Amino acid sequence: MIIETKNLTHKYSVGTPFEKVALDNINLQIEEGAYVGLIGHTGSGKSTLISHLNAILQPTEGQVLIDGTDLWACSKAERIATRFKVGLVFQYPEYQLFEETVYKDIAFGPKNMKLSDEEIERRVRSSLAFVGLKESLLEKSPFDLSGGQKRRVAIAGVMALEPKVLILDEPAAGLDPKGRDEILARLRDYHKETGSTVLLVSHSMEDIARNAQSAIVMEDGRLKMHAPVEEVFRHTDELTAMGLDVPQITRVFFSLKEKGYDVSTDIYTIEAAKREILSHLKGGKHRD
Amino acid sequence: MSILEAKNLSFTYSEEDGKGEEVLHDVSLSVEEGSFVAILGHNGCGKSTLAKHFNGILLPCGGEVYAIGMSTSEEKNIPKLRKNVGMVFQNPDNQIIATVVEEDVAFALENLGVPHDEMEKRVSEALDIVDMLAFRKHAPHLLSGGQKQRVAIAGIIAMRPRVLILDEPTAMLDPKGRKEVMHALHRLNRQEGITVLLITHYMDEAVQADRVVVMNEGKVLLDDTPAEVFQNIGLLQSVALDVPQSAELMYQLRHEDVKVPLSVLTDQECVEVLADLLEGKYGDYRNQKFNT
Amino acid sequence: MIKDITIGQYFPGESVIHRLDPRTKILLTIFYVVVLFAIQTMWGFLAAAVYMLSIILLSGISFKTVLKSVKPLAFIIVFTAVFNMIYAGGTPIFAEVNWLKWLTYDGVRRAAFMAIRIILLVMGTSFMTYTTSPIMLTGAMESLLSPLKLVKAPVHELSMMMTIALRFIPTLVDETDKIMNAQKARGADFETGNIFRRAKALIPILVPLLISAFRRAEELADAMECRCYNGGDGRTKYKIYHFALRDLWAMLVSLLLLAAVILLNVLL
Repeated sequence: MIIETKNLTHKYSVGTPFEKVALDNINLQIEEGAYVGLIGHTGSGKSTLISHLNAILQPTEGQVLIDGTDLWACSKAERIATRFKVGLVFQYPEYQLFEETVYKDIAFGPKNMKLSDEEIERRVRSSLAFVGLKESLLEKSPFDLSGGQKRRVAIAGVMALEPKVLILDEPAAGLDPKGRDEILARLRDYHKETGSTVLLVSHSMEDIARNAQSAIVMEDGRLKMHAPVEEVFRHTDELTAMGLDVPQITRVFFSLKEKGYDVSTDIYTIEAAKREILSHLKGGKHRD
Repeated sequence: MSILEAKNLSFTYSEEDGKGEEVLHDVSLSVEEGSFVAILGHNGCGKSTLAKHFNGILLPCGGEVYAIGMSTSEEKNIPKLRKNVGMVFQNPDNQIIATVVEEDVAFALENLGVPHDEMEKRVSEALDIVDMLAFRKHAPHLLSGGQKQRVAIAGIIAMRPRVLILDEPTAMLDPKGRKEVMHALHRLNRQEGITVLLITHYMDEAVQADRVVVMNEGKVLLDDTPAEVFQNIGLLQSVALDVPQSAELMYQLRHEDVKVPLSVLTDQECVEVLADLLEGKYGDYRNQKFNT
Repeated sequence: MIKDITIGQYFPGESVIHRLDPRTKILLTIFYVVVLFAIQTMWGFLAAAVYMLSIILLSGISFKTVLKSVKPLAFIIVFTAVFNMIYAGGTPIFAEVNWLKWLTYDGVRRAAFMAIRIILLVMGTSFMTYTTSPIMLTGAMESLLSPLKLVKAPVHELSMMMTIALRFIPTLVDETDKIMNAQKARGADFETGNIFRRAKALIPILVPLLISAFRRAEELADAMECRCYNGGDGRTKYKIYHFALRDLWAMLVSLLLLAAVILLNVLL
């Protein structure tokens, strides 16, 4: 297990009238190399959970183990070192850019790791390639780039840590469909090529369906589901009740089923929908 | 009569802003009073630049822009334009000025010199329309994104504008916040008769409009009802825009020579068409060979 | 960390103190400070303490909270007191003990006075912010300073700046927190090293914060223009302040305090 939490509980403002349980007894296990989606609406505890995975937040109770190391039972140096194992890309990461050039900004993390100059350069170039940007951008100021490019530079800045786990909080938020598709495609390639673990936080079930292998669903600080994507999508009504957006096509097939047509409800892409409809047309038998 | 009108509008950002290229090329567009129009396009297509012309924040480099029957190029029209053509931006945090919700909603009224008693009435009305009356004494920074954006909208409609222009008002919100804001906009349009011009890159929001204008590279690419616009699936995808999954499914089925209608946008329409298809109303496909 | 600062904190409430016109509160706070410095006798301080205590009781804010406002100043209070004690001069208390000669009756008295004065001062002034929302304070300031508009002082602009600053402080605090976490995730270290290293470590926070503040300012300016903002001319006010009977009472009671203090100064 690359990530493991045991009875992880986090409370905000302990001992005041504003005390709030943000995470309630989370037991989570993520295997190395997996591509996992994390879904839940705002305030469900997603962001609090991921902030525990690289020791930005300390659990009120319970343990967080990264690659077998208990983050709060080891030395401070070891704890800091896990930040390089678990790369965390926050929401709107372009707001963290600060250096004069794209190169220097991506190099900020590797420099903090005290790597050699050659190694830093190698990492900057390789992570720039992972996010699909041209090397000609390296000497430009990050503030002269377009919104989508800035976002990608910021993500490259975390990829350059070459973490075993890459966690991204809504990496496509605020981008247009083109920007969103590009970033998600780059992430798929990154996952395939590096074999590292990816944890994608998103509101969009469609994005999770298209990218992740398994999905974690959170609600009110609790872990509601953790299963392969197909399994999670079988609970469409529950997900809708949680205020999550189910893909339109999935909703349509649920309605068809309710109307008495013998269709599958495991449908969340156009391809699958088309195949399902065509096979029924061929068979000519539709009602139960 | 059209309440907003752009005639052969061209616009170039000045060199000092670092962008010397033309952002709008010869755009002509008119919006009828009382309608709900969506402008759809990816980032950098010029849709926000176009919007900022309608209340005189930006002035045309070529062509003319009229709002509520007045030219935006004439300085003396500006105060009246600002009052009647309200504008809401993407980030609600950067539009809220006061530390109490009701005081923020009153901001524009204070600027307009509205008498105090009238102000109280209008603030309550505006908050009620966006369903935020219960939060009037709250601090804005403790609200959710959707709530903040509704406060920002209330701050504009308190001026009682005839047109409301929104520049990607939901881009920074979660699905719940997006629904709340869209609900408020439809209510404003239907109940108050306010003309709504919604700039967005979410096709599911555009689907709900009376009319969709698709922009690409500073030009109007398509301009029609949602049902017509979203039939141009190939064209929309070529300019990197999403189409409703229902429309795409129909498009894909057509490719297999299944004769379904193309103008299918909502869940319900899609369910009906698929049910009819399975019942054989669009023909018998039992012996057909499909490519997939 | 940053969120723990309590200066200028506001505790919402509905007490008579909360409901006083903010202008009354500003004026009375200034008045109270002047009175504190006029006091010359122990009895005078007692009168002021009773006055302060009644305000605390009336406001419904716990005594503990009020004491908290004094705590950060403990060092300054002790320092000023000791300083006064040493340099007062006068008759030594223990004339026969050589190394205690600096300790005089006068010194002890002045030290005690100074300590009590600062404590009452801090309590009184922080009480104004405890019971008045920042926006009310700014509004009241503008109203009190409005005569200065006659001499073309930018009173409205100043008050607008204060309002916007107050509105954006929580937003920027939040943003600082986020940026810090993001840089920590890239291995930035803000906690170790000497003062120069630490100052340098702040650059990755300050640059993004500044850029974001400018972007916000630009967007805010557009939004304000869209809401017909055109400076202070011809504006009406949403919040109107009315002097009520309770304001009159508050002033009367405060005048009584002044009278008592003067009387005690003269009599004793």
